[in-house]
Amino acid sequence: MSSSELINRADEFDQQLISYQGEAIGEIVKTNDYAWVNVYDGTNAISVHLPAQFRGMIKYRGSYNYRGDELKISGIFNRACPQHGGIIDIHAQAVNIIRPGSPIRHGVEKKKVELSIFALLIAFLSVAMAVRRKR
Amino acid sequence: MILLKSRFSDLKIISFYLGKVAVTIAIAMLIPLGFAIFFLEHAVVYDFIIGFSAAVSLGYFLIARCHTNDDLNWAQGMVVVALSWLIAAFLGAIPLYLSGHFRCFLDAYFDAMSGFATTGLTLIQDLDHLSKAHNIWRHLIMFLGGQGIVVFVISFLFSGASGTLRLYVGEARDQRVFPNVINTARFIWSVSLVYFFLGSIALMLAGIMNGFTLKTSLFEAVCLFMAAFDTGGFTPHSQSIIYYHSFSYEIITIIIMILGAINFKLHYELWNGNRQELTRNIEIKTFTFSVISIFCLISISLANFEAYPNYMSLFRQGFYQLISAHTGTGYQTIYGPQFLNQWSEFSLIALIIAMSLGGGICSTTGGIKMLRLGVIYKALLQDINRILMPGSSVVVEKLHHVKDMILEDKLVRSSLIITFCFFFLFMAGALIGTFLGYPFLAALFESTSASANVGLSCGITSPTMPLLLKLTYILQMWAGRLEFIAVFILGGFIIAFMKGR
Repeated sequence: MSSSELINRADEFDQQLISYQGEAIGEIVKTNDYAWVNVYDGTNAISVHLPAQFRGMIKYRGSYNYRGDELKISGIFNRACPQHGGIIDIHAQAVNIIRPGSPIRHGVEKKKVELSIFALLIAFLSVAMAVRRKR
Repeated sequence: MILLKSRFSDLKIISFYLGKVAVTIAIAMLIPLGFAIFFLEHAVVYDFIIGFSAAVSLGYFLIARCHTNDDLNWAQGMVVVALSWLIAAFLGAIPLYLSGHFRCFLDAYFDAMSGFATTGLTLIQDLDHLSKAHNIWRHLIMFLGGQGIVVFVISFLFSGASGTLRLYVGEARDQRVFPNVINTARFIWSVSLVYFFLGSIALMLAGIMNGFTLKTSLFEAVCLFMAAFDTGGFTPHSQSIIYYHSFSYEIITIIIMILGAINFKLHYELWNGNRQELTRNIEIKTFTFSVISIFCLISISLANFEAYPNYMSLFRQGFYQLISAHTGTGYQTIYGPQFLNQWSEFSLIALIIAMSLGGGICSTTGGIKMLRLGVIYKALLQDINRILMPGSSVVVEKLHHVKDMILEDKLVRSSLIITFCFFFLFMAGALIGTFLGYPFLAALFESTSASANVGLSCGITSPTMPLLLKLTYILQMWAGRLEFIAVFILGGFIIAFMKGR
């Protein structure tokens, strides 16, 4: 099930057992015996409410520096969760890691370095021109 | 109408002031550059060096080539303001585009304009993997735009030029807190910075309660505050406020959004202990009446539609979206398509009305604004009284906005003109959206959101939407933020340049 299907056909899947797959992103929000993890499938992120026991198994969460763990969630989908202020969410019953996440290496592009040097040079010349004009 | 041909000296003085605006944008870019270094985002550093250099080059080139000691006249001031926002969005889009999170430069320009105009509609892709430096930049441009780009320039780069009043007024700020525009601009910044510290601390504590680390809580708090107080609506995550799963975040952002929607002149009165103003001011009265009545309509409609399983959910979702819409912020606790799928048409129309109304004059909100609405209402009352009273009676209508004022035809006329222009803009965008194949109500929702600089989306705004619609929304965000006058004068200036005698 994709996030678009869940959002656009929410009435149809309300209170149904569904399966959803995507990358764990951002921080895990901790509550007493549960946790929230946001799972992004490439289009939208859906909130997943997890029992605390699953919390520790998620090692990587997507951010600028990391590709998050790819999770497969089975659980009850809520169109407007009565427990959680009426949001769309999934109450997970089972969580599996399909593919572990990893750090993302952001290499410096040679083109950008060259462009930076060139742009700085032009900026310096413009400032010099303005200072000279003022004098 | 006789159009006087614009002279070369007009272009020179306009370019000189635009140069100053470009330099200001360059200075602002040093902040995300610092963040990139602090967070060890080395690859990102170059995006901001390029953006900074482009802004410095353009700024100092214009300052050097067009240096003048002449003061701005009204027309030149308005043209400077109108062009400042286009140039600021262009320069602001450079590091965004270099992030690689946009399909094309136009998409990055769309986001930059949305940021500066404090709209909040976005075409960014894969936001959850964006660097912290780029995220800070997105929110910072929203903060600068909310205060007013020109107010920022006036605060830091001018020293008493009388042309500052023209720039200040051109940026849709009808009122001054102090007689001196520079003092007013500095007051606006002082208020914002005090709230910045208080609001950020409150949001940071909410983050820590959520189990976030101190560093993450602080980062999220700073971003959220800038976008909430300036009624912008960007967030560092694709899910908007849903991401946080926190009632505390919702309450704190509601308070910050309302503070952002209050007239800075009213902030000044409250800071000076004049609490009576809260109960007497026409803007506060109109805003309170509007929020209560629209919330009642939305609640009844959502309850009849069985959109939510209980009253608490209905209140949390309905009230949050209403405040977000009315203050022109655009934070969402529901996904865009849910507006169309789960909200009734009536509640959508009520939300569109809330979006169109906005907050206080001389606040960070967009839209028609409360003072104008109050003035139109008072004018209507006055006309009814005139008809009911004997012919020889003189009917005087008063309103209280910081001081008691007599309702004058001039004020009514200007309020009606701006209101009419907004309605025209809402409808024009809606018709273009409908022409491109979207349902009318959805097109009107998105068009109103763009024109009134709100940022709520029912799902139309996406990187795949038609080019014409992207251009339409950019134009709407720009014209709506400047409240038309500066845009009209720019149009007149261009026509005069080509056809004038």
